[in-house]
This record gives sequence, structure tokens and C-alpha cells, in this order.
Amino acid sequence: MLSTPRPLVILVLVALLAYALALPFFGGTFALKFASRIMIIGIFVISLDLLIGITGMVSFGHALYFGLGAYSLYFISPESAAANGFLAIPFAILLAGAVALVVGSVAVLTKGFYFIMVTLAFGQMGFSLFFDTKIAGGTDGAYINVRPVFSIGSQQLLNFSNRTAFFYFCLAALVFSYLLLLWLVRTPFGRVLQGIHHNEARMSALGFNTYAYKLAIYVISGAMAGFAGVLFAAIDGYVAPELLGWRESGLAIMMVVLGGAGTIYGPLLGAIVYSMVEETLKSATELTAIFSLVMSGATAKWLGGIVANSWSMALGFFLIAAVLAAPKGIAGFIEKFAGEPKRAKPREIKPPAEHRERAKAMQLEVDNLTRAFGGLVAVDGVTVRFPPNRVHGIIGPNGAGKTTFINVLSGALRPTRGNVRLEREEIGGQKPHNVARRGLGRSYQRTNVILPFTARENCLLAAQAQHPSPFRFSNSWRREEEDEAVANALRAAGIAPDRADIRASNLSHGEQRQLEIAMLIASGAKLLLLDEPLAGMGPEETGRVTALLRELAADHTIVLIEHDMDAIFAAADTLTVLVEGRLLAHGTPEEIRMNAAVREAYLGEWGQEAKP
Amino acid sequence: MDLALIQLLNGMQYGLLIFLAASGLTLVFGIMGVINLSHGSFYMLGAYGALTLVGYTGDVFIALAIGVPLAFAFGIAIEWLFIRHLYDRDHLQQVLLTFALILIFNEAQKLIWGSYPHSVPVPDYLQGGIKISALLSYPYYRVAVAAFCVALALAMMFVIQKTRVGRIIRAGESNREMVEALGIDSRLLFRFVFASGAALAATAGIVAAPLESVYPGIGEPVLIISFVVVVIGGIGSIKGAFVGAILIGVADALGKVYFPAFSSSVVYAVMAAVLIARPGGLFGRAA
Amino acid sequence: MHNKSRISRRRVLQMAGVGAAAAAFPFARPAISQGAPLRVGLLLPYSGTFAALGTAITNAMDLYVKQQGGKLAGRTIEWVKVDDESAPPKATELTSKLVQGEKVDVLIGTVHSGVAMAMAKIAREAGIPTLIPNAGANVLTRAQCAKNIFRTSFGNSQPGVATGIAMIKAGIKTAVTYSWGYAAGEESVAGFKESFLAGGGKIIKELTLPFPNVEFQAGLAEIASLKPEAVYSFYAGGGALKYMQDYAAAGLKNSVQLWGPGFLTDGVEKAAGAAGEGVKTALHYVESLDNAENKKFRADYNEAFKRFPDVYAVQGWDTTMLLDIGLKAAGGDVKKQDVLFKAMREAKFNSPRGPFRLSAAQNPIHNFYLRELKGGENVYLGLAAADVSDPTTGCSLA
Repeated sequence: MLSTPRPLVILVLVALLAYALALPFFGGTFALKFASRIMIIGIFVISLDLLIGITGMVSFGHALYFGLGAYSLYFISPESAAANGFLAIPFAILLAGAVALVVGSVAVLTKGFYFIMVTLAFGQMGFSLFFDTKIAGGTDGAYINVRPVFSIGSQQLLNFSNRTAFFYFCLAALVFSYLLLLWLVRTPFGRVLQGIHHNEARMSALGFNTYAYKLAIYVISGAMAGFAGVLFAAIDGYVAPELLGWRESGLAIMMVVLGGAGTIYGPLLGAIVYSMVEETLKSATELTAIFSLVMSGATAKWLGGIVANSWSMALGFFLIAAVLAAPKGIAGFIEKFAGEPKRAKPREIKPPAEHRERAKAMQLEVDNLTRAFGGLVAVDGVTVRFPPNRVHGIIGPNGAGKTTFINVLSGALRPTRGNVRLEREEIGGQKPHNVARRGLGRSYQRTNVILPFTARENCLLAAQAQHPSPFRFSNSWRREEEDEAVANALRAAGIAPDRADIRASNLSHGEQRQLEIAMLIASGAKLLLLDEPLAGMGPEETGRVTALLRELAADHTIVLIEHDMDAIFAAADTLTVLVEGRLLAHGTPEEIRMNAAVREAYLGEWGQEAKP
Repeated sequence: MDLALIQLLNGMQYGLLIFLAASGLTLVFGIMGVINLSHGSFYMLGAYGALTLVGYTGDVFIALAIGVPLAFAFGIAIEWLFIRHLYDRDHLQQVLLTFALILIFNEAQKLIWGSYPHSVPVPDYLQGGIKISALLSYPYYRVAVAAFCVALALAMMFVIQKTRVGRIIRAGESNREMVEALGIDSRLLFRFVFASGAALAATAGIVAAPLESVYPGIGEPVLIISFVVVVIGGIGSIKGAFVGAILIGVADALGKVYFPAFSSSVVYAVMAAVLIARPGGLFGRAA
Repeated sequence: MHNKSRISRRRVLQMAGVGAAAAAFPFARPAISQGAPLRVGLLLPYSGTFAALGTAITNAMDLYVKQQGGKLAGRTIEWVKVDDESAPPKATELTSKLVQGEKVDVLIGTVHSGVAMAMAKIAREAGIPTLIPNAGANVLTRAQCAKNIFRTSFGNSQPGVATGIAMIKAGIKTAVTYSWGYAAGEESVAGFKESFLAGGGKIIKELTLPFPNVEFQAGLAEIASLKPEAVYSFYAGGGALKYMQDYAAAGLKNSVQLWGPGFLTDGVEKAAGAAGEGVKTALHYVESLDNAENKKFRADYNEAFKRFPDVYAVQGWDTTMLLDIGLKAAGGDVKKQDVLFKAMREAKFNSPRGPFRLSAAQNPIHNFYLRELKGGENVYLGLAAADVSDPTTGCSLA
């Protein structure tokens, strides 16, 4: 989870800020314009980092919103008078946000590279609209003749024609944007975004409507890019269709990656470094000045001319060197020197009273459930009832349809026919996050936690899923309650207190499986659907987790698939045997052991092996 | 012949050319998981290579025979120099690196071949065309290129479906561990696949050179349209790339006739529509 | 002259470290003392599709200045080149870099119309003497004209007008237009329509292709079905080359004449080969133009660059010529803007393209020549239209 910036990072940022604050006192007109431009691009790229680095959505069409923001100023500016900034800026933000809502509602349906290409497609369509038609000046762009002013009534507060005022405005806008994003990603809402980045399926199974979250951040990010765009148009009062095109989108991605995605300040550094390097490499004057520090003037001039002539090749080599030398971007490079991040110390939580009421868990009924893939019927007319507060095992040979069966129960797959009822309410065919909200939590065959987060952070995300309003921007609200739920879940799942603040990726395999269960507990699930919770565990860990399952049955209903027959016969209250998608038998372990059909079809070999 | 029919043919022929460019991209992307932005540069280098080689040999098919192995070797060199360092990195690092390669290749092109457009002659034996209406004829070279593309597509599908190399490649699709489990050095496989991708892009560039003429920046539109085709077809699917390319070619040709004002958006609209209906592309696994 | 600033810069560097220095560099400029060389900013494309044009323009300007001993009106000329990449989003920034950062005295640019629009915005605000050696956007010398902005090339519609007149003279009655559907293409076609319709011609259909798309097949098939006497097309560079090849390969060349403004064949005369044979174009320049200036210019240019000049080189040459005239009148002092601008506005000289003068909106009034591509050369067929000027619609100077 994104932590508070380290002291070294803060130092770098403060130094940059100090430089910027002082710039108007020693820099010329061009310095101010150039710096304003970089700061505006900075806002644009950190808004993109919100998608790429924080949520893991690589948008190749982000310039669409930047360009729309820029064109908003053109649309709103009178022919030969100034637009009011108090109108222009909200208009740009709204226009970009509204278009992002429309585009995003479609684009967010896709993932990964498909998302990259869909966003590219919309960006290019936007570009064509401005390039091929005359809705705004057409191919060659359009002028904004007078720069905006901020005025209330006849009182003029700020005029963008004043370069210094405009510069400070951009600086303030950048600082504000940065702090806003830093705050945003650390809210409960932002934590979910980061969870989605690393494991969307898990977040969905915890009960988060990931589509809504992704759409929300897409709109926020687009609106922010629109804000950057309107400022960009105010620098020189010229807008061109290319502002919306894929080159600008691509350039922004390059800056994000160069700077270090997912850190917010990194992309900002990326924008600064990229612009500076390009600017310097393109200018024979500057190169000559730099080279003359180490060689004679004539040679420096000659070499400067050569490099400036092939500046794009030099830029290419610079970028390659940067990628190879700094795998995590400039930010990663800085953080190498900054040490491990400090994490907030968890508050002490009192252990709950020893004697507790047993909570009634949920009952699950499956009625004539069928799931087919084309001609292949993976689950075939299964009817079974799982009463509350029991451990129910599902067994069967490989290919019996066990995983398909629980995928249908959890909403990952839609049933072809039949019903699934949780506490008498139909859940068959609902989306995973809705099923999870009703109290059904599931784990996966392959451990499915959010690896870069600590165990506690994982559980905190899960606890957050309990509450009906997902778009939470406040940390304090319900925090105490959640901290308590997290502490209890960690304890219940048997995760040692000194392991709770270690990244999940550094936990042992067994601990990761326990953590997954802890997350389900913290999420408030009353029915746990576990897919081979014992897979890959040694005898000692198996014993511990089996005991844990028995304990959990006090408050939960547990349905699990398991291949470890000794363990499941010992742990389960009922067993359900699936063979070739059909229900072969259902009963207590003893009944199943005696069942002739089961022995014949499946348990035969096992029966011999297992007998002492 | 009916105008709409002629457009349909034109679209299919254009689609076949795009397929040639896109096939290498989908392999590299599907098997190695590398987003190779420099794919268009290999196409460009192929076209410029054709310019030079046809200058010496006089025949684009001889240029093809010489150029493709060269491109393969060049692909190996690029993989060894740059790409291999990035397999364990984030996809975006690959994007940045291959973008840097575009900058370098474009500048190299300018330094080696200059900035003026050039043409590459069609071989004498393919001059002229088939008369399809009073005024219009269809050039033999285009027919030959279409046939070449179809043959290459069939050959690739055969290799992928029926041969050991193909099985390895299919196994390798986004699963390095599985390749390793088969006892194959995944580094060698990746090098081979990357070089093949480069060779396919260069093949497209060489074959297209007499049709397209050769000038700075020809690689970029090819890159974009190839990515469009790859996602429409489903990443890693040669069959998908083939169907996607034909679909895009036809949509583009018909779009130019029926929606001239919006024809540059037609291919993107088609792509968006396909992905909304099938988020993993036509022949891809669900994303 | 850089000594002092270099020493101080080195000390700054030593104190502040390399990182801070790199950050400061884009803003650190040598101070300009009196009697310093005249700094001329060149905002031109040196990479990308238009790189050849930027190079030709620069070569011709360099040649002119070298022939004058490196000086114009007694002042040493120092070029400050910036590659504009033909990218409008960067254009205002790069222009500012030249005008406010490098503090150039004169600004020359560019090829791409969008970039020129951005440049003109800054140039007008800064009031700096500005010469446009190629970009054709009509509006630059119409509604957006300014007293400090001079164009030595053409307005987009001018070559179209001239081609239309030539086609009427050639007895053509029906035509289809097939051009890139962006501003330059549309303005070119509009110019053509104006004169072709005025001469009694009929336009059967206007076909467009999105810029910079080069899949011409769809349009060619349509042309074949429409059966006009001629086609008017605006394409340039690599796209034009491919167009002529596709046009010929589709078999249209023998039945429908291909016409266009000269950009269709310029720079690709040899490359077009047999496909280009017989393509007729009108332009304000033709290689074989029989005047002393042209002969000398071609010989000198070829000697210097081992390549014969094209229309872009001529435009570069005339740009420098126009600047030279102005500077001479102002005694080399660009601060004397009234004198400088007046001399430039009223300049009349013999260019390699023939007689050259400017309209009230400071756009060239010049002859257009009819050419036919034969054997890898644009052959001069005669005058297409004399003294073609562009309307000054909306220009405050007119």
C-alpha cells in the first residue's frame, strides 16, 4: 500500500518547490513559460498515474481529456475578450469528466491490453473529430485570442496574461493536485484501488464492485487531465487537434514509466526529466555550453551540433539507459537511498471476552444446479443442502466439476440451470461482488491475497468491504470498528501478531493461506467457500488449519474442496461426492466411507491406502 | 464489376497486407508478453532494406530471400542487446524501451537513407494488371502479394498446429513455467520468437515496398493498425489476427465509400465494438 | 564572447552540482552584447515526414548567406535551429524558446501549417520579424495577417486556382477531386473549384481521404466508375508517390488525366518512374525555368549540396533574399521595424521562380507554371497563370 513519502522524497520535493518559488526572481520569460508548461504536464501525468500506477489501468487515450480540457477554453472564450477562469476551469473539468464517464463506462469493461487499445481507439476518434471536422477550427488548430482572467463581478482577481501570476497559479495547482492525490489514494477508496491493481478477482470476491471503482477513478482522472488541459491552453492561447492524439497519450505514459509508476511524485519527476533532457538535447547552444565544461570550445560546438542534429537518437539512448539502470523509474532510484517505508503503528486492540455467543451462520441450498460449457456438462443437476455452522467437504476425482461447482456458487460463473439459495434468497447468476456482499466469502486454489500489502492491510481491505457505501473517502469513520474486526480476524486465523505487519509476499505459504481465511473472516462472511485450503501444506500446518476450520464453524458455515482425504474425513461434518459433474452421494463421513457406490466409483484405491 | 464488390476485394487485399504485419506482433505479444512498439520500425527497416536490396538485385523477391534472414539476425541482436533484460519487468518498462528503439531507428533511417521518398519497382514479370472494368484494372503485383499472404498464413497455421515448434509455441503462450517444464530453454524460445516477429514485420515491409513506396514514418500507421488487429483477433492467435485483419481491411475500404467524413474512425469503432462484445477478442481467451 | 559567461557558469556548476545545473540550463542564456551577430531562429522540421523540406529550405538559406560572405547588411548571421518535428502541441513552446529563450532577432518557419499557426500566434504577440518559407494555411495571410509576418511560399488555394485555370485552358470539362481531407487539401481543392467552375468546368464528385492515410484503392475504384476527363489531387511527399503509382497500376493513367498542384510530383520526380509520366501540375516554380537567377541558383546549389534544388529550396532562397532586402534598408538593425517591414513589403525582385512581390497581406504574387512529368523531370509547358495572388479576406493590412 502506498505509504507516506519518505523523508528523502519529501526533501527532493521541497527542494523542487523552493526552486520553483524562486524561479520568477531569476528566470526570464521563457524560463517561466517552460516551467509552467512542465508543471501543467506534471498535473496531467500524475492524473494518469492514478490509473496506471495506482489502479493498474494503462490508458493509451488519456490525452483525449487533456485535449478536451484545452479545447474547453477555446469553446468558452469569446472572440476578442477574456473568458472568466471561474467558469472556464469548472467547464473543462466537467466536460472532460462527462466524456470520461461515457467512454469509461464502455472501456472499463475490458482489461489489460484490451483496455489499452480501447482507450486508444476512443482517443483517436476524439482526435479525428477535431482534426477531420470543423467543430473547433479544424486541422490547423485554433486561437484563444485573450487569456482568461478570474473575476467576480467587475473585480478582477487574477489575470493569466501576467506570466508570473500564471506561473504561481500553475505551481499552486500542481501542489494542490499532488496533495489531493496523495490523500485520495490513502483513503479507504484509494486502498481499494490499489487492491484492484494487484488482485482484481480477490477484490471482487470480497464484495467490491470493481467496475464501479474503476469507472469512478477513470472519471476522476479524466477530469483532472481536463484541468491540466485548460491550463495548457492558457499558456499560449493555441490549441491543436494533436493534443488529443495518441502521441501525447504515449508521451504521458513514457513520463509516468520513466518517473516510476504508482508513486505519484515519480511521474512528476519523469515529466521534469523528460522535458529537460529533450529540451537540452535539441539545443545546440545548450549542448555546446555543457560540453565546453570538459572540452575545448570548438570541439564542444562541433559535438553539440552533431548531437542536436540527431537529438531523437540521443533521447532514445538516454531512455534505454534509464530503463536498464532504474527498473522502477526515477522514484525507485531515489527510494533505494531512502530505506524501508515506515508504516503506521497499529492501535492496541483489546482481545474480546473469552466467552462469546455463537453466531448463527448461513445456510446454502443448491437445487438441480447445472453448468455446461458448450457441449460439455461440468456440473449436472446437483441438489444438495449445506446447513449452517457445519464444515462441509466436497470431494471427487479430478475433473469431477468441483471447482466449477463452487465457481457457480460464488458467482464467478453463471449457472446454466438450477438455483442457488443463500438463506432462502436466490444468488445464482449474480455478480461475485453481490454474492460476497450477502455474506459468502471464497478462497482460491492458488493463494489469492494482495501480495504487496501487509497481512493487516489485506484484512483492512476485507473489513472495509462490509459496509454498504463503497466510495468512502474518510479514514476515521468506522476505523475503530474495522481495526477491531481486523485484529480479531488475524487472531482467529492464527496469524502471529509479529507477522501481521509483514508484506504478504514475505509470508510462508501456510501463512498466506491463513491470511486468506483471515480476510474472509474480516469481511464478515458467514459462509466460507474454500478451494483446497490445505493444498501444499506440511502435516503440522495441516493439523493447525484443520483445527482452525473446526473453530471457525462456531460462527461460520464452511464449504470446502479438499484432496487430503485423511484431513477432510477428520474435519468435515458432511461430505458431498461429485463424479463427472453429478452428485454421487451426500452424508456424514462415516456414511460416505460405507457407501458402496462411492467406494466403487472413486474411493476404492483411496480406501485401501488410507486404512492403517 | 460492381463498385461495392471491387471495394470488398480491395479491403480484403489490404487486410491481407495488414495480417502480414500483425502476425509477428501477435506472436511476440502472445508468447513473450512483450508489448513491442518497435514492430513498426522493423516494417520500416524491411521497406528501406528492400529499397537497397532491389537496387542491387533488381527483384523484390530476391530482396525478400536475402532480407528476411538479415531481419531475423537483426531481431536476435536486438533481443540480445535490449529485450532480454526486461522479461521479469513490468510491461510498461518494455513499452518505454521499445519506444526508445523507435526514436533510434527513425534517426538511423534518416542518416542512412535520407528523408526523400523512394519507390521500389515492381518486377517486370508482374507489370500490368487484370482488367476489371472499362477503366480499372487490378495490378498483378497486388494479386501476387495477396497470394503470398494467404500462403504464409496457411504455413504459419500449419507450423503452429502441427509441428513440435508449434506445440512449444502454443505451450509458451504467457506461461514460461510450462515451457521450462517441457525441458525447453525459455530464453532460447523467446529469442527465436522475437526474431521471427522481426522477420515477419520485415517481410511485410519488403513485400509492401513496391506497393507503398518508401518514406520516413511508414512504420507508425502499420504499428497502430497491427495492434488493432491483434486485439480484435485475440492476443497470440494467428487465426484471430487473420480474421481481424480481413475484418479491418474490409471495414476500412467500405468506410471510405459509405462514411467518408468519418472513415478514419471506422477501424477504431469496429475494434471498440468487438471488444465490448468479446472483451478477449474474437479468438482470445477471456481476459 | 562566451568566456565570461562560461566561467561564471562553471562556478555555478561546481557549487550547485550537476543535477541543479541541468535544471538551470534551459534558462541560462549568454547575454547578447551590441554588435553581436544577427541571430536567426529556424523553426523547421528536421525529423519526420517533412525533414526533407526543412533541410532544403535550410540549405538554400545557408547558401545565400555564404555567398554574401556570411553576412547580411554587414551583420554576421548566426542560425539557431530547432527541430519542430511538425508537432503542433510543442510548437508554441519551441517558438517561445527561440523568441524568448534564445532571444533571436528574426524568426523563420515553418513547413507544417498547424505549427505555423502556433508560431504566428507567438510571433504576433512578440512583434518579431517573421518569415514563413512554406506553410500554406490561407488564414496566415488572410484574417490572421500581421505586419511582422511575411510569407514567401504560397497560400494553399493559390496553386489550386492556377491548376484550375490550366485545366480549363487544356479543354477539360469534367473533373473529380481526390485529396487528403484536411485543411491544406480542402483549401487547395477550394482554390481549384473556384477557377475551374468559373471557367465553365464541372466537378462530378469530391472525394477525400483522411490525412495521412495512403490507401487510395477505394477512391480510385470510384473514379473509374465516375469516368471524368481528369482528376485533381492534392497529395505530397511519400503519399503523392504512392498515389501516382497506385493510379497508374489501377490502369487509370491512360484514360483519366491526373492533375494537381506541383506538390504531387515535387521531390519524387525520379522515384515516380513510369507511373508519373504525363502527370500535369501547376506550381510557382519549374526546374527548367529560363532565367538567369534560376540557372545560377541551380548550379550553385548543386555544387554545394550535390543535389538540384526543388521548390522548397527556392522558397528558402527567396526568404533570405527578402530578409536581406529588409535588413539592407534598415542598416542591419532589426529594431528599426518600420523601415524593415516597409522595405520587405514593397520588395520586388527576380527570384529563381521569376518575378516576386508581395500582396498587401504579405503573401507572394507570382507566376504559376504548367509542368508535365517526363523522364523523371518536370518539363515546362508554359505559363499556367500569371501574377496569381491570394485574396486578403479579413486582413487588417489590406
